[in-house]
Amino acid sequence: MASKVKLGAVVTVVVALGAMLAIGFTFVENANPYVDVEQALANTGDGLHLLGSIDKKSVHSNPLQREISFDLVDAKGKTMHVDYHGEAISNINEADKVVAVGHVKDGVFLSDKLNIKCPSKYEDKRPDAGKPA
Amino acid sequence: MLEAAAHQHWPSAPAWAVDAGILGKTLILLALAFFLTSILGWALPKRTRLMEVAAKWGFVLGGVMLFGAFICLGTLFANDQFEYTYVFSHGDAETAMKYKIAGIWSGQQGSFLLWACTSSIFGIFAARKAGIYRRWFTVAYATFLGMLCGILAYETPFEMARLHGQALLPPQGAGLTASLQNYWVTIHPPTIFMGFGSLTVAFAFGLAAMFTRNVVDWVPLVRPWVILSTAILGLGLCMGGFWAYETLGWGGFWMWDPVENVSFVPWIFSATLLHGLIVQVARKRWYSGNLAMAGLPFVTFCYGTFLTRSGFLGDASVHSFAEMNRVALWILAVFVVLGTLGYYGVYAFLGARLAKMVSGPDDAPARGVNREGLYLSGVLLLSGLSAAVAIGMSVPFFMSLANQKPKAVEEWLYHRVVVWFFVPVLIMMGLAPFVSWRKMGWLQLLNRVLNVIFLTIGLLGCVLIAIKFAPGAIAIDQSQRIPFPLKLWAPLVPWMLVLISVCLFCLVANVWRIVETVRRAPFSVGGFIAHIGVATLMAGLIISRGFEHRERVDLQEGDVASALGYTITFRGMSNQEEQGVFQRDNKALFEMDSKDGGFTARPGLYYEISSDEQLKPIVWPHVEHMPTYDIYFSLNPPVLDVDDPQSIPAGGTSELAKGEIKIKYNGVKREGQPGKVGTKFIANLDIAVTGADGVVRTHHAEPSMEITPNGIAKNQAPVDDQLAVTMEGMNVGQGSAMIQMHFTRAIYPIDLYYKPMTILVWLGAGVTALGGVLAALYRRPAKTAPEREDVAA
Repeated sequence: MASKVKLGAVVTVVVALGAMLAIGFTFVENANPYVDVEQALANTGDGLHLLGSIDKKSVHSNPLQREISFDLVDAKGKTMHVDYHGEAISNINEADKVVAVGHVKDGVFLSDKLNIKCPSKYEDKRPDAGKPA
Repeated sequence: MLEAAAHQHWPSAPAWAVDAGILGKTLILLALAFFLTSILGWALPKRTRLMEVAAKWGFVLGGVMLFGAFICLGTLFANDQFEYTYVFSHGDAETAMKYKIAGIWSGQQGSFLLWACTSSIFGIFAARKAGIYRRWFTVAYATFLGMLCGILAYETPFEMARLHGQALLPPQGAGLTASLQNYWVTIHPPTIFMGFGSLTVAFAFGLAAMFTRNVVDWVPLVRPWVILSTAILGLGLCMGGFWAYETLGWGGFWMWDPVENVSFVPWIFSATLLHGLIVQVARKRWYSGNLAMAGLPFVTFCYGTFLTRSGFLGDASVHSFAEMNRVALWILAVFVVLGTLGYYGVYAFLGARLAKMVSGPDDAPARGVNREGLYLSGVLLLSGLSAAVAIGMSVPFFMSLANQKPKAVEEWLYHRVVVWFFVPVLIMMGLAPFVSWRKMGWLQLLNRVLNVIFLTIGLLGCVLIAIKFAPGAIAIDQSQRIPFPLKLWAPLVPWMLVLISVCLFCLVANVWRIVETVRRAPFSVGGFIAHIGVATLMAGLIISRGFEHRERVDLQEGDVASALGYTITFRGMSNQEEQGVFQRDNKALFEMDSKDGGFTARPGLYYEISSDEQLKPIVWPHVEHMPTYDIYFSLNPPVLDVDDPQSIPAGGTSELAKGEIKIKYNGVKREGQPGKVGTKFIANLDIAVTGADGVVRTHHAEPSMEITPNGIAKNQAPVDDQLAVTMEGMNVGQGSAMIQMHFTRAIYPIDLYYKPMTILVWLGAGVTALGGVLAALYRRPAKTAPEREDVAA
């Protein structure tokens, strides 16, 4: 009986550890990378998370088409043009930093999801306007 | 921070406010002193009666001091004392009192003070009933509260901004961001912080049980607190979801954002512990497991708080996290590490051994099924769910520890992982109440739940009929597919039916059990009610998101559009005063008519002047709750301009709206003397517009810029009945002009969502909380247990 219980416990622990490892692996493998402009240009994949600040003068928004285009400046100071087409975003002018999700085509970053970071004064709420994919 | 130029006219800060700040700081230091007294008083092996009294009262008085500090901060907020940096950053003189109060917990320091206060409430009440565990319970609890006091002393909300050594009172603070000004900001944070505060009880009890060397009798004492904690934290989580739903404009409740996960992980661990305790009470087993689990909710919450405040998730979250003062962050980090190592160190060296000595024999039958087995599976699944989310949340942290490029774990990925836990958990929640603690064959179990299965199938049929004849003329697209693991695609409707049937099974099973037991023990049904609530909530989330239907319309003032079976007419603004659109309570009114009746959608719309003098529209969605569905009316900022201003050289052309509008700029002529009032510059434009009928019509327009005593006026010129044009500027050197095309009537882009059965989400949350509170009341200790350790056998 005792050996049976121990075997059961060992199996449970092994299965649980295996499951956790598998989950961790799934998360890391499927998670999308954050990139800067240089890395975005070198990367052919979709779901890139391009992080940077918006050059406010370059913002060009067409709410009727749910389109916004702007120049994004990354931490190294490199600029890339972003064409966003997706959920309407009303607070683009408040945005401090953005994460544009998408891929690069002909040197332009085509994005269908835009996460806006506003200089929020209350940290517990997201000033996000893009609906998750 | 505070503008140097403007401060000359500011009055001095009132003396009482200066004193209130000093008092606040002092109270926090006093609280720290009281907690230290309490720790010392209880921890010393040889204690006099006096020391014990001092230790007891030190713990209570420490809590009272914290509340005093909270009241000081609240008073400063209520009276707009912006000479304090924290009040300046989060307060607003012109806003309603509820938002002034919400300012208290809008930032780092205030939310830590709130956490300390809510924790101490639970500590004080739980300590009174802690019996033989009171000594070590208080030591552990006071250590934690003392640590919070330490953080609050370093990062105090009572920091005054002095200009040239003077305390001056600025007239206005920065205030809450517009998007946060919603009644939930007053309700949700205190509720969820009550939940966070309650998590400390199980942790301190677990430690106390091990130090007191009695891992048996703590269970009935801690159990009601764990139930209460699960109920309150769950309610807080739901409120956060409602808040997101009502204000964020995409109509979702949950998106697995780090801040949500930080609350979700301890909540699930709390629910896990609660079920483990049930087994210990009923079967006199799982002593070791429960001791291990008791630390998890609190430890994971502290870890999550550290993660979100540390800046590791800075790039990985859409939240803007205020990074903590480094010293305060180090205190928190050291506490997380010490708390975890300390708890599990004591567990490894003491707790596990103590548990082994008292654990009952495993007399479960080898064949068939028993409730303990199902609870074990349930506990493993819940722990797995919680651990999975914790892993997902930590990916950016782990990757930066490993010097890897950070990665983003998105909502869809969480869904794909957690569904494997949710489905079996819901089935367990339906099955477990039917299984007895003793031997039971699988056939016997099947026999017991057969009625439930039949009822579930029957109800599923009703759901099918409802889908077929969905109200509001919304047909569900049968061909829709959703992504599945292994790059497979599942047809939406069957997959939804699987998920719904699982929820239905859990719901029916627990209703069945209530009917069976309510006569025998009417107050024992709290757990079943909570299960019903969870199943209802899950069903609501699944149905409202899965069968969501969206249409987009662009509605021009005075026009009529139709979407989702409604005829939509724009009726104007609710605030008819001049400048009414600058009032925060202004609503845009849309008449929504359908053959089944109608309503007026009142999405919020007002304008602010931004710091760069631009007109900034702020919009709020309108949610119309119907019995079987919600109409979610998301208004986007009105569009007045066709595009950005175009710079056109003389004789040149510019195309807008994908070539449907072509502007030819022929040049400018001047009327009057340059620089004199009354002088006009008139642009000569030919504008070709492609109409809806495909015919191109060319219009001549002459917008002008005129020098007036008040500056330059831009005179708009009509183009046709839809369009008008202005000249925004000109460059004499280059001979170009800035031309702006406008719509004569604003266009309102609207996203309209049909969300079926959203009511279940609200109902489920309420029922879960009700069940939790009932269960907590039912399991409250009947009488105060003996207090002195030597009473214990």
